[in-house]
Amino acid sequence: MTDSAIPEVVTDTRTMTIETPRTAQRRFRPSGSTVVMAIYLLFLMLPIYWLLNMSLKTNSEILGTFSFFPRNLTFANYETILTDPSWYMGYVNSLIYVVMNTVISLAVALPAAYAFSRYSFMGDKHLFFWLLTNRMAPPAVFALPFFQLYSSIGLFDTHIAVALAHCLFNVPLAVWILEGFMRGVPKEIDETAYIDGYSFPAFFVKIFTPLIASGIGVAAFFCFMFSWVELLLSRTLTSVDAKPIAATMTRTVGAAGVDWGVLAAAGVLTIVPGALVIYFVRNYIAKGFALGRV
Amino acid sequence: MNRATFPHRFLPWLLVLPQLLISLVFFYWPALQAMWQSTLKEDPFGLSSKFVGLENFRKVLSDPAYLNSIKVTAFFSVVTAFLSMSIALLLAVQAEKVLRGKAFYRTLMIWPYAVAPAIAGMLWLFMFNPSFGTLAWPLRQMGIDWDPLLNSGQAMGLVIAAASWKQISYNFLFFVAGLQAIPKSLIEAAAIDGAGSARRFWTIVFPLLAPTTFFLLVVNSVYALFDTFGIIHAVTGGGPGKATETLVYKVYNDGYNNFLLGSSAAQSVILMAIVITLTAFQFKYVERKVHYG
Repeated sequence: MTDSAIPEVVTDTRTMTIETPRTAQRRFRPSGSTVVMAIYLLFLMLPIYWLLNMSLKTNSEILGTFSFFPRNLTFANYETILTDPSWYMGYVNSLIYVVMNTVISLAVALPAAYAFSRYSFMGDKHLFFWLLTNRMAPPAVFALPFFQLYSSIGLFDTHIAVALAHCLFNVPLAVWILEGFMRGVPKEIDETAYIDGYSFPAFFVKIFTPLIASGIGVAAFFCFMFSWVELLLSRTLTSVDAKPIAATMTRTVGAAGVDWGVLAAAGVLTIVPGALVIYFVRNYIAKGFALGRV
Repeated sequence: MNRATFPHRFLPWLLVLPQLLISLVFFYWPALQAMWQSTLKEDPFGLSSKFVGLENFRKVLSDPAYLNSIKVTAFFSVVTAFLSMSIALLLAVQAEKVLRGKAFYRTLMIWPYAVAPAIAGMLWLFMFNPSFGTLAWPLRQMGIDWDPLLNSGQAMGLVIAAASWKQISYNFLFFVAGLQAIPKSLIEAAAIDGAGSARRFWTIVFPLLAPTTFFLLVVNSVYALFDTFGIIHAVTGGGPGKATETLVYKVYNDGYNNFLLGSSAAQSVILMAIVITLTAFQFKYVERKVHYG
């Protein structure tokens, strides 16, 4: 396939790059675009590669030499993390409150999203957007009031405290995503179930929930991710017993005599859960993007 | 909407109730608390407080450190939003041409979601660490006196790079979606009329992308203003001096480390006002123009 296949009317060579989907599929060659994308992917991956590289080196190698590969491959950094409670408890704490938050957020958001997608009631449109605005709230504003609230009722430094605080941001988001998916389910299904004599809870759990499984997956992913990466609230609301891993890590950055290798290994391990979750929901996420709700 | 079949006089309210409760307890109550706090003056031991009206706001707004923080924030946000959006747009245009392997790119693009802002900050700090960073080394070779922990301009550059790096993928995904929605026939017509690719982009593609761009502008502003706490915390801690202390970082520092509760609350209220403005702006202009698929 050559460029001359395009009619002679087009004389300017620059316009040759115009591609209708069909011609583009026929003549695929590594173009400037591919190169640009490749460079970008490199740019995206390089920091992560460097982190992985560091985590497999000894401290003297990190500080002493400049190398793209670890010369003395060592897993000692990972061993330190997995055997020292002050490190691995950070992961356990983070996972506990993240899972709690995801479950609570979905439990609250599912019925609310159903109400917004199926019923019209007084002020429903306003309420929907009004509640959605909660998501825009800056955590910095709420850190102190939350701290005072939790201190006064004895919830400070507990997992549930962080999980509930993150609900403020995750519930509106989950409702927004789920409502989009629920709209895609025909209302006839609800009607049929009602006529068949299902009670509302039975219908919701047995029939409706499986139909929006992918929406639940996407919503869960975003709740998980937000809660996993959020730092300001989680570190303000905890001190020892529920201290998240990110707080443990940032505390050690900048301190003198930092154990860089261990820190890099800890960084790699914080990316793992997110990457795993992404792997499991990657196809659902594309659907979420198609709905414009992500 | 009106054909819902399950009895629905109280049911919808019952279903929304948990969300309303969360909103009241975790949004309205703390917001009111912050407002109330912003009018109080506490003694240094937190034992007593008295009502001082708008005194805290007056103090905050005349504090040179706060004004400096506003400047830092404005610079940081504008550069971050501009960089992450323009790079993403450039890439989206390129990816649009590639066509094959789009799903592959998209999957790869999603993963920075998994990187916490604090970790993203650390990644960049590692690469540019003066003593062992990969990229600090060539900078040294070029004769640049590289030390982001001491040089405020370099610290700012590093924070901006980390913040943009994390946000580019998000913008990319939206720009790709936006580009796909533009009818190919328009672009082809322009090509036949003899418009070059640059001209086609600026006169046809870019204006038609405006809703997406507008939407992303708000999202990116909010991101740069409020969600970059983790990055700054990990990379510079607001330093050197106060060179990278953004408004959000200052609220945290004053309230949580320096225990200036009244001042911190006043700053919170100002931040809240900024968010409300941005949100109102988004819903008023953006929601109507951006058509979700």
